[in-house]
Amino acid sequence: MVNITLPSWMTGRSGAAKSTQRATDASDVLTRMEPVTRIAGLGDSPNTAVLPRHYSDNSPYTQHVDMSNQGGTLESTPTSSLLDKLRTSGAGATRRLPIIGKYPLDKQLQILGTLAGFLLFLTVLMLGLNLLESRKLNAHIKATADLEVGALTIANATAQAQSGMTSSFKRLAVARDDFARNIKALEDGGESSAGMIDGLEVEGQRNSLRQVKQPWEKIVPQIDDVLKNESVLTTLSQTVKKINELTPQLQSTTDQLSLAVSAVGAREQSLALQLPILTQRIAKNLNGLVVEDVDPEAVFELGKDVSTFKDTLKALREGSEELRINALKDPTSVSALAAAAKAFEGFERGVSDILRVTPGLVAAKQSARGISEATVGLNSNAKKLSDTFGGMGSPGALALWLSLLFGLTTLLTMGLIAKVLFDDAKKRSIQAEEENRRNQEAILRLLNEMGNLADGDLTVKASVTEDVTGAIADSINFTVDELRGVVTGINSTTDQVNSATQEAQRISARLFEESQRQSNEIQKASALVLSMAQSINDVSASAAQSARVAQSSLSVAEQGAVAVQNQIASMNDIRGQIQETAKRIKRLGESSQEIGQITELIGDITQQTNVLALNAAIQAASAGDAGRGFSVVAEEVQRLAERSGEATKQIEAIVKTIQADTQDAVVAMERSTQGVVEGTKLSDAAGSALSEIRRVSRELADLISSISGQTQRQATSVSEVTRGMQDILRVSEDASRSTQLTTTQIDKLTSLARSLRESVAGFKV
Amino acid sequence: MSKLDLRSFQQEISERLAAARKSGGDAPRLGFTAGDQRYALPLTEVSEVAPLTEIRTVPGTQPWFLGMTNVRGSVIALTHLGALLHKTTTARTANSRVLVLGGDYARLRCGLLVDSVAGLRVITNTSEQRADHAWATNVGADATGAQWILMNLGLIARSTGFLSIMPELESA
Repeated sequence: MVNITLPSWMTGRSGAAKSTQRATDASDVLTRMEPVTRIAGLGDSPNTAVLPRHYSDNSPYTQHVDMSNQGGTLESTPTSSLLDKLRTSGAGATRRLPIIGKYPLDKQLQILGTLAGFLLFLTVLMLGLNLLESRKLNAHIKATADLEVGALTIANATAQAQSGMTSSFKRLAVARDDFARNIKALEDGGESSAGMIDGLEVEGQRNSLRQVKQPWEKIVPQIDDVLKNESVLTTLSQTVKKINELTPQLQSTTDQLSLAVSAVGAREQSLALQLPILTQRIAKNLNGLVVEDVDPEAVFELGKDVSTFKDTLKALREGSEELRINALKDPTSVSALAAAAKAFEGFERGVSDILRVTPGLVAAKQSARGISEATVGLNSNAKKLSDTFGGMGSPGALALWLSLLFGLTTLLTMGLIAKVLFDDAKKRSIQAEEENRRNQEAILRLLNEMGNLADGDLTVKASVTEDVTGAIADSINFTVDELRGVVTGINSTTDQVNSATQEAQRISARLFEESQRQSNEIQKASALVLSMAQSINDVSASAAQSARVAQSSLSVAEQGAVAVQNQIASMNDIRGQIQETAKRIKRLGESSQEIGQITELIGDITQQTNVLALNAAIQAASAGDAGRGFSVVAEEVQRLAERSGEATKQIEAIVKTIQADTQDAVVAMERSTQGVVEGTKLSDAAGSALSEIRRVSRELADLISSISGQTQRQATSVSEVTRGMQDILRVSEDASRSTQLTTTQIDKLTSLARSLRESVAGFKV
Repeated sequence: MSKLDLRSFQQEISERLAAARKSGGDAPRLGFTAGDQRYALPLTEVSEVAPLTEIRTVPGTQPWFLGMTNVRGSVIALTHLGALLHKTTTARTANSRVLVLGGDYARLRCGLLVDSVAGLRVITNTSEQRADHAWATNVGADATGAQWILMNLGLIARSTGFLSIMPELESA
């Protein structure tokens, strides 16, 4: 027994192939074949086999099928005759229905079903008609009953209205409207207290309705009269109620008055005693108005009593000639009289109100009495009308009987349908038995043919017949072919797998080598990157050092600039001092010039002195001996003058020397000033050069610090690169390990392929 | 330049005055220069030493005859001594002075223009060393040893050359 799990495309090919998968005994096969058998049995022609789909194409099997079909026709002759026998016996057992028995089952069921549905519809229709009729009747009965109740309501409301109850007027009006509406609805159809109704159709009922309507039409104006006098009746009732309240007070005040007057005199006392009596009589007459009919005499007596009361009060208050009494004087009597008069005021007002409305009151009372009398007749007529409904039979009785008949017919039809179905089921069971037997034989035959297949012989071919096993045999043949293809495929595939695994082994070995080399390369690269990081750090340190140097150069340049500034200031000072000195020397020259002028003047004076001294000496000489002394003095003067002249000449020479020296000094000073100016210019140039140096130094320091920062960032990046390289190294090592694993797996694959080949070696193809 | 000692000066003056009163002694002479030669004249032969004033030239006269001038009211004829004696130019300087002749020669009414007046000199050791000149008889030396030609005005006054101021007269 070969146990191979087939791929899903094979199992999904057909149900028959799936069934043969592990078929070991016949019963199992039989149970699985059942659906196929039934399908074959249902077909009208027993000779048509249900073939698998793949027979429709133009394959070599087509020929084979045709042949087997011809053979099958010959073999199946006894089987079909048996089936015919079965069929005829089944037909004899069940009696066919008359008329429609000749039709097929579907047609019979269709006819019977239609009939049953039609009858059911009629039944429902009749029931509906019955329901509709009885509802109409009920509405009429209710409307009539409402008429009866309405007559009583009107009588009741009228009695209450007569005694002045306010709510009764509204009730009376509503009852009147309802009554009128119901009469109208019963006569002509329309809205009533029982909903929409049709008018009465039976003549007797219409007569009864007319008997209700005639007295009603008489009552309506009287009801209107009562309603019109609503205010009169309510006024009467309210006034009487008020007067009844006042009566005890008036009674007591008049009693007090008569008691007070008894002290005055007998005549006055008899007058005063009339007052309580009058009070009682007025009250009695008034209450009589409310309860009973209005008696005109009673009304007249009421008016008279009131005026008598008023006159008596007046006589007691003012005195009367006619009655021969004096006006009351004592304070007790006067106050009692005033109280009585005050109490009487309300009394009098009420009575006069009632006297004013007396005509309306009389009419209203009469109408009310008319209504009360008429409603008795109305009520009895309405009752007669409602009794007419009790006398007549139910209008929907025919419909009810018809619906019962149709229902019974429907049930009968259903029974016929059940019979048809039952017969059909019985027939089918006989057919199924026959089919089963035939199929068992065919299956046993098929199993015999399939004996070698279990031993792995895939060259076996099952014979294809027109039996139900024909399709199975064909499917098995197809499956075996496919299985043969599969085994061949497995053999060639395992060869391919072997060669592929060898190739894969080679590739994975190379891959392993490559990954090893890659790991080495990555390690080398990591070392290089590390040394690069070191050198970048060195560069960064050098850049920081350079930045410090640039900073110090900047500070030196700043110091130099300060020094140059100081120098420029000093030179300016020197120039100022030189100019000051030159000014002084110029003044010195001017002074020496003055000295020269003075010396010149002295020289002139000396010369003149000399001349004078000579002339004096000459004069002395001319004087002879007398002038000898004088001559000596003149000689001395002349000698002094001569010496002065010589000294003056020396001074002049010295002054000239001084002036020349001064001139030279001034020139030298100017040259010095020039030199100082040029020196200042040079210092300025030096200062600007220094500031340029400072600027350049600053830029240099900035650049160097930015270089330092960038190199630091670079160092960070390089360390990240190092980490990345480490990751790569790890990944590469993983890859190497995976490659080794792959090699192992490939080995396993090779051995699997070998075992697969061994497993299919048992098949003969 | 030595400072004058006033006390000794006064004493010297008073001594000399006393000496002058006692004996005549050698009279001082007026020393002057003309044409690079030092000459001396006795004071008695000179009436005045005057500074150079305005000169009115006289046309057609000898080159050394400068013309006429006015010295405090008296008009005198002025002769350039250097030009006359040494044929120098008639240039005049600030030191040029006019010696107005006096004494015996006052009637000549003439003056000599000298280059400069040196002052009073006492000249001793006179000798007739120089006789080559028409107007000089003796030569002497003063206290400092300087040589002075002692001028003899009489010879000059008598010479024709000095008197004939007209060139025609001299040639005639």
